[in-house]
Amino acid sequence: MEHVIELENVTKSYDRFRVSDVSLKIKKGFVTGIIGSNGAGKSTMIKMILNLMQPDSGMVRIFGEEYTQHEKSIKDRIGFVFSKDVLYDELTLLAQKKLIAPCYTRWEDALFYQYCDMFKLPLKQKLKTFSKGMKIKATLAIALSHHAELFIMDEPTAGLDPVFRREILDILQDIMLDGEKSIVLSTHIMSDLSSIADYITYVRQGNIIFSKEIHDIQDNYVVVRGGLDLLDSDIEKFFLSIKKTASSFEGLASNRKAVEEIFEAETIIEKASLGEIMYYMEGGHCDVAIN
Amino acid sequence: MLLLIKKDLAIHKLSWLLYFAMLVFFMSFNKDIIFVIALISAIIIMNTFYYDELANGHRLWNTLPFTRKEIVSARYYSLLVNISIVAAVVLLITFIPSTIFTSPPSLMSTWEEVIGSFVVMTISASLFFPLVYKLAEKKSIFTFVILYILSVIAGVYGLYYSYDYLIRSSVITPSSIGLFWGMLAASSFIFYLLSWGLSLRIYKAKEIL
Amino acid sequence: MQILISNTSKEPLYNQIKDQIKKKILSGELQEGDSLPSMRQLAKDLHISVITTKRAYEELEKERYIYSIIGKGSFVAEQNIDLIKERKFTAVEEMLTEAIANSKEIGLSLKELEELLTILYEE
Repeated sequence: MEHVIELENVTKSYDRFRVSDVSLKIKKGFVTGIIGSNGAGKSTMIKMILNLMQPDSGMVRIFGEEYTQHEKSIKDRIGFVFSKDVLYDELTLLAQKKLIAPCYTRWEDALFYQYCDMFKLPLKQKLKTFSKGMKIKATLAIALSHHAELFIMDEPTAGLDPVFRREILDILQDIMLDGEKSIVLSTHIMSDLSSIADYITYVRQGNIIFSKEIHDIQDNYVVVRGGLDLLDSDIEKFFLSIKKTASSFEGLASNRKAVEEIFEAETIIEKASLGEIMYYMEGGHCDVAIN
Repeated sequence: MLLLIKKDLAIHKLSWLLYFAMLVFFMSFNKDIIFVIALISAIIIMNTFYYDELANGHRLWNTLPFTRKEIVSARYYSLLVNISIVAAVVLLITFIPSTIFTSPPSLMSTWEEVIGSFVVMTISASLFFPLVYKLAEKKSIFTFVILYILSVIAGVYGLYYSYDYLIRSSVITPSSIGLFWGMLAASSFIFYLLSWGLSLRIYKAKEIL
Repeated sequence: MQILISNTSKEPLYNQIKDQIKKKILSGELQEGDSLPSMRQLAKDLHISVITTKRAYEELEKERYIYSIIGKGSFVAEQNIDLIKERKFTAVEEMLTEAIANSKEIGLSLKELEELLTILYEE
């Protein structure tokens, strides 16, 4: 099994929102980051991956299997973290654990206590006394304690302070050490992703704009700044998006070599960060899909 | 599945003491046991929905290794478990000879009251469960809880007075009482099964947000 | 094994890793048969993605600096260090010849060139 998640021609209409004909394969043993602005369809895709929503058409396969036949065994192998908390406020963490632990065939209590210790989570306090960060850590501790093979995290670092985010990313890198596990996480905090994601899938208005290796993006996407006189309609074709002011322009291009050849030294050409790519793609004038 | 039923009981935690206190309270006021059983088990089952909704339970339990079929079915079993527990406690208290809990003079015999509460609970649950699965959200769940409990109270009195009327107008004679309760229990249980099927269909297609 | 990377450098991360490992091999700090950290461990230590270290290792393998055994890890391959050094020496010689030719064109004396070289070398 090379791919842990496969979406094939998945279409889903929901409210005023539509995911149309999306195909996506997620490789085993790697971290895939899903990026996109709010309402782009990240969560809908994640919910379809978890069978919380079912596609109108198309196929979802997890570990090469479909939910219609293997729902329980698939979910047994998934660990999840949501930014929205899904624990019972009135219960203590210990009581919550007692409810969840027997649901998994490979739950390991010792692991759970080890993570609670590491995260400094009080077992005997009601969950309503937990801060948002602690609640996310609690779900993470649960997700890590049943030998899951696939971790699905919807905005796991949202609303957390930077120190804490770094800690979580460290833990995720720990999980990845044996090469048998895979992580899918959606986030809009781009710096988190550039340090751990192997693949980036960019979702916009219910479509996948691209799905690439991270260094493919880092090597080829550039922001170019220069004088307006350098532009003409042929040259503009090299850009995915251009913003112009009275005398100068800034543009996003996905072919570093070609752009460097055209402009040589007359412009400033810089590596585009994920945040910049999104910024230009979402707000730019041209509306080009790239592959 | 068994885990889900256990969980439906476990999430109440200390609230069980409150339910017990309420039960004792109503009984000490010589309330009919049909009323006590129906009311307390209605409160318990609706509280289960309420706690689940507050905790985004749909999301939690659907992400854990369960099928939607199990999640819905567990709730239908839970109701039956709840009534059984409450009825058992009430009967136990009734049979303890004491001056505080004297059975009030009633139109119905004890076993009639137990069946009556079962009938009211299953019928109102049959109506409400599919609605809750279809419509309830975090914001509206409390309204459903209140409406359900009111409908159970109305159901109890409705049943009580209809029964009274049927006896007085001799539609039910002492010889046909057994048949009457048997038919009523059977038809409400069939109704419950139909509702169960409907909820399964509704929940299967539910978008869990 | 110490590897230092810069996130702000123009040089891609996998190249930075590749170059530093290469340097360690050529300088003899890493010897034939020495094991390298697993690419996943290295990724974790450097706080970068696995696929980046994977690419660095793959390229080192392609250039025969290292070899990998599935399930065991990656090791420094047998190097013909003398041959590599000789090749590098030829390259240095060629470049210096070119530098001298350019210097002569603009009238730079040997002494000035030596000074320049000293400054650059010590930088």
